[in-house]
Amino acid sequence: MTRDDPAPPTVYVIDDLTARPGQGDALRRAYLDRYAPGAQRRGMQLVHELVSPPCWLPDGSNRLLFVWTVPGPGGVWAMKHAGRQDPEVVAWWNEHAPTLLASRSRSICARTDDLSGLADV
Amino acid sequence: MFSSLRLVTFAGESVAARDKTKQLLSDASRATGATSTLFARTSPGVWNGGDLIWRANYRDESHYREAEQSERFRETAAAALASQSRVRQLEHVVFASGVSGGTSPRRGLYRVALFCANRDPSPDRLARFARDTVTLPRHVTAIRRWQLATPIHASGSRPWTHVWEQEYDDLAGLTGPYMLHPSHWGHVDRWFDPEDPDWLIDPVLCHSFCETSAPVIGTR
Repeated sequence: MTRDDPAPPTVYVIDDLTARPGQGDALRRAYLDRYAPGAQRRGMQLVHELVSPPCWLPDGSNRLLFVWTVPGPGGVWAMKHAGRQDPEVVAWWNEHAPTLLASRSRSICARTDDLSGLADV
Repeated sequence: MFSSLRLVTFAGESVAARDKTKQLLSDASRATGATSTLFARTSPGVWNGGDLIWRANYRDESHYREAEQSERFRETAAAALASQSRVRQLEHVVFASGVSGGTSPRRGLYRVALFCANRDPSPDRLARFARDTVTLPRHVTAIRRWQLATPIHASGSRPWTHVWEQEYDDLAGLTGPYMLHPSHWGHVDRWFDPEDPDWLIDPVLCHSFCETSAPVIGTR
């Protein structure tokens, strides 16, 4: 990658959420209602929304994967800087989401084909 | 090696008053007995980085204390730094040599970041953060010299817990490779990210840099 490239490699941001027992669908709805609109305003595009197992568990914990994309390192920093200025983002992850969450992780990923280009800075 | 680092933001809008304070501090900086001193205006683009970087290396802690407890220092520099009419904001950290690597360029760019790890700072999380941070120079070869240190004294906007310093050949090393390498935005930055469950570092931090004409980060 050079800084003159018009289309930087796509970067994937994956939220891997494990719901509290019986809260899978409620977590999905809360995430889409309270978190996703702001994320989209910060330049993130939701490309996959996956649930495991593929049925809501009334007494068990569903795992939800939300896969977002942002355009290159510039898109990552734009997303991060905007999020850090927004108290709603901090409130979502630290106050609202924990009532429905058992655990979570966030991964920032790239296609393996793009690694050498991304590191060529 | 023992170091004192101050980020000074001048008070008032009078250029003459600022220059007078700067000259007073500059005179004091040359009389501390430090083994080396960086005393420079910050470059455009700093964030909570002050107008002035004053960084001094001493042989050891006793030499630092002797210098800063001297009557001359207290009556000149310390008095000016404590004066709200002269100085609007002062960040100060005092630290022994930390983990470091690389070789300083003869001239170039010095950058320092002050962090406050105050989000569940368990020993394990602090250790993981430090390990991740010091891997950056392996990936970002534009970092010519670096050091991660833990202050024994910190004051200012936050009780700073980490001093992360780098030297580059020029500003492009900081704004280019350092910011753009995926090991930064895709790995280490999670400790700074309120969206990440690993979030550790207070959003208020200092990011300051200036041009240099001599090596800055000392050796042990």
